[in-house]
Amino acid sequence: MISLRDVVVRYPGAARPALDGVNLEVAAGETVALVGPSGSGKTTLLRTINGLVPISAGSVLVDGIAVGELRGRALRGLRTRLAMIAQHHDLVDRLSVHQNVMAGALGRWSTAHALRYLVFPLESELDEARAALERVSIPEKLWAPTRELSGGERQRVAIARALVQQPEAILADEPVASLDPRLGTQIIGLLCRLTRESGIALICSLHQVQFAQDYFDRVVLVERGSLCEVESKQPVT
Amino acid sequence: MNALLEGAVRAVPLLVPVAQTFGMACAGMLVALVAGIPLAVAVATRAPGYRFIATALGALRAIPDLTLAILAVVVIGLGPAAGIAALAVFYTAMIGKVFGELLLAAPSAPVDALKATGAGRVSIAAFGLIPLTSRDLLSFGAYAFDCAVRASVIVGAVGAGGLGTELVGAINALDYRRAALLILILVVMVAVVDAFGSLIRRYPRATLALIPIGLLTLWVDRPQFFAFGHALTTFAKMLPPQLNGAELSALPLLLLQTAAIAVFGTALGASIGFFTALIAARTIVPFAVVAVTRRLLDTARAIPEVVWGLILVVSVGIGPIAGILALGFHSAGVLGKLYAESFENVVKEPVASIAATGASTVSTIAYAIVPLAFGPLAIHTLFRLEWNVRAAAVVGMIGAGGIGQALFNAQQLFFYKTMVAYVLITWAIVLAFDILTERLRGRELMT
Amino acid sequence: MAASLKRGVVLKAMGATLVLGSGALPAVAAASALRVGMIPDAGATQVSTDEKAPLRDYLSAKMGQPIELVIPTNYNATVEGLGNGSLDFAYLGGLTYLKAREAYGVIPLVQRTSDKQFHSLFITQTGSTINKLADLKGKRFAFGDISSTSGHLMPDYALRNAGIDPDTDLTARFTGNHPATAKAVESGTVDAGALDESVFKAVTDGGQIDKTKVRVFYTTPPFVDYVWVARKDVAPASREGLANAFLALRAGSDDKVLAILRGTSFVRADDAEYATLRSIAKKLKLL
Repeated sequence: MISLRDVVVRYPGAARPALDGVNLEVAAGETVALVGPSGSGKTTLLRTINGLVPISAGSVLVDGIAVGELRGRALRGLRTRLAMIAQHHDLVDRLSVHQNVMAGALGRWSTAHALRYLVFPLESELDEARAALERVSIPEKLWAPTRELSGGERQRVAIARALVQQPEAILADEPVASLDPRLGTQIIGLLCRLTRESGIALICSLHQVQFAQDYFDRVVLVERGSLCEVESKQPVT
Repeated sequence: MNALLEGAVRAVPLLVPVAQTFGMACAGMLVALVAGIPLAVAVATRAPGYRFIATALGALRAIPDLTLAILAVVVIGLGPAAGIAALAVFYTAMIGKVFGELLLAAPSAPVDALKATGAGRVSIAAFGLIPLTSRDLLSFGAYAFDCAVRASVIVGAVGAGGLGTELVGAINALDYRRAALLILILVVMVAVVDAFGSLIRRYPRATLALIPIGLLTLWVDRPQFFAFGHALTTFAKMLPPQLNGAELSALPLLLLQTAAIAVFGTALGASIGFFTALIAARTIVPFAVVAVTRRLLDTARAIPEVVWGLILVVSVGIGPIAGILALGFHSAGVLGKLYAESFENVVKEPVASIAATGASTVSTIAYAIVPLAFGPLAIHTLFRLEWNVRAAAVVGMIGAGGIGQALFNAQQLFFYKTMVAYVLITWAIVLAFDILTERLRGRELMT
Repeated sequence: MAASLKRGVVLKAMGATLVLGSGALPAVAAASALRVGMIPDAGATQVSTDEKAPLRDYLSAKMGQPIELVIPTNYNATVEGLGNGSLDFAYLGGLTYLKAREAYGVIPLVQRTSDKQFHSLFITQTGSTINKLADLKGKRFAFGDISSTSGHLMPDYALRNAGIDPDTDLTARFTGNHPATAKAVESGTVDAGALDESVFKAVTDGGQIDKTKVRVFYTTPPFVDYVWVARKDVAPASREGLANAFLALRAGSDDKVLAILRGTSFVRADDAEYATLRSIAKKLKLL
């Protein structure tokens, strides 16, 4: 579904390329962990797939479409199919939890619809938000102010938002880096389980190999802008 | 020599009011810095009586600059000297109060280390407080100077000379081409001062340029007729403040008008500023658009409320509507710029996350940029509201109604006891609003 | 700044602190310029001061002393100038004279012959339906400066005599001076306005106001108005010098100066003639 071929990314002024001839194939519904030290190129790799970082050479294809050539509406259409979860600072504090969750629907909503939802959410829309929160086990937080959430709850909301987006793949960038290891394990477990349930592909960067081997279909090591496959195994059921 | 100078000056007639206005601002600012910094240091180092100084500065700051100018004209006489005196008092209070707060916010460890050496107050300020907060001090100083230039136009409107006097005359004589020219000069002048402000931030030594200009103006415009006895008798005539029955019964309406001008003016400014800021933020629209919208905002900001008021009183007629529009247009310029900067400064990650859902630009603004910038937006708006209460009283004096107009009429008719009563009431309202908004800001900053 | 340079008075420098009022300056030496103020009844810009240069030169020649002409932005500032000593002589309106007399004991010197029997004019647009004072009820109306006699005090009095209360029956505004009132009526910003008859004649003759667009619909009964006064400490010789300079003005030879003053000849002024005006001002609570 996602395929990177000889991708090179050079940031202006940087001594060496952030990605140096990367090849990666991810099938639909597959869960892949990118593991490596910080600065190794994991974030750049994820952002390249979403079209947030321009590539210097090679190609990124999503279902055969070259991401680098998309602009404007077409690029937005592609982004709608790929949900992102970031390390932290990912939610908007001033919005309530249900607004953050339903932000996942912005890609399919018209602008007028989006503005209307901010001031006047319909019951059916709130049901959708509640259902998404139920899948991450915090339905009671529907109306809570986002800034009152704990770190684990914030990542659950981010996952709920990604689910509302109904994506074909989720790109998660160090989603548990700021959580304690026990909580981190829980969240990673939840993320892998939910994506498998819905047949969504997951590409997730991590810096601890520990989680990776337990939960993901494949683990890929990233070092100095290059990849190397570590292990492939059958999904845990 | 004088004849030569005068000939040169006459050749370019508008140079005189421009020089007067600019000179007044420099001189007023110079005095304010010389007097205000020691006061700020006294407050920040908890010198004996610092509580009294802080209270006095706060109280003084609540008197609108135009009111100070009127009092100065009565006591010192006509001309720029009165304007300089008014600006000096107003900005001494401002510099003293805000510099005091900034110095207090200095990191405590290095200051404590200095104290441990047994250093005196002046040394602590010179080697600790001031160097530690110099960036904030310069930044605020540049802002204050910017305000002082506009204020020197405002005080000109009551007879202190300079561009303000010319502008009032031109508008009263319905000479719109001359008025438009004067406003254009004002806009250019504020732009130059703005540039000087960023120069000061980069090369603090540029501040020294204030000294010769300020001193020259102080010498040229020294008050020649200052009569201490006359000042005392004039002040004696102002006491005790009094209002007669009719004036008392009209008071609630006047207060309501002034409050309405301030509140609706701020609301108008915030609305226009908000939408303009969206197309003036570099992170939202292309640079070419920003270049245009920022200049528009600069222009709206360069024209002080009083000047907007003078123009609007002529076109929409006398009354609070002119006042609301006047405050609204100037505030739109000020808030638009601040809002745009707030939009540019929001944390980037949530914006990227929302954009990554495939949201449209407007949806991204509504779901990420605006909520993320809400805190700074609210603080800027509250500051503007506080300022606009003062400004509402000031635009009242040029015909927008409310307590300001009552004050001005009483002064024009020499009913000084009534005038002082209105001055005190204005002062009390402004002070009350200052305290109220300070509380609200405190709460805003906590969350 | 030119004006300030012109003063050319060498005073002992007392430094910047003077501005804050920490010390009193010695009185200005007698050799310095006489400062003559005028209420801004027809505007107060650099332009208006420059237009009056022939008057300044005439007075200066007659009195053998340099003259500095000052036009403050409002009526109050002119009176306060006499009070705090920043003006030696001034041209005041009737009401401002009463104020200055009461507060600072200024001495009336001369006035135009027409000032003894002065009138205010009520004007409206040519096509308007306003024909008498009673028609003004509910209309937008322009006064001049709040302290003006012919632009506020006497029109206010005339309105009240006609049964119109300016506070409740009119939407009234103060334009600040007479030409502004005329302009406001001409442009239709207000429905009607009241102003000084000599200014109205000057602006319609001069073409600043289109004669065909405005018409006079009421003229007040005569009253005594503008007067040139001296601060009470000015030496009698100096006072006489200024009075005589005005009394010597003759139509034909001094037309330029007379045009600035909007008059034909000058006569002595007397405080006793202001008794009626004083009682009216007191009645209207403007004094």
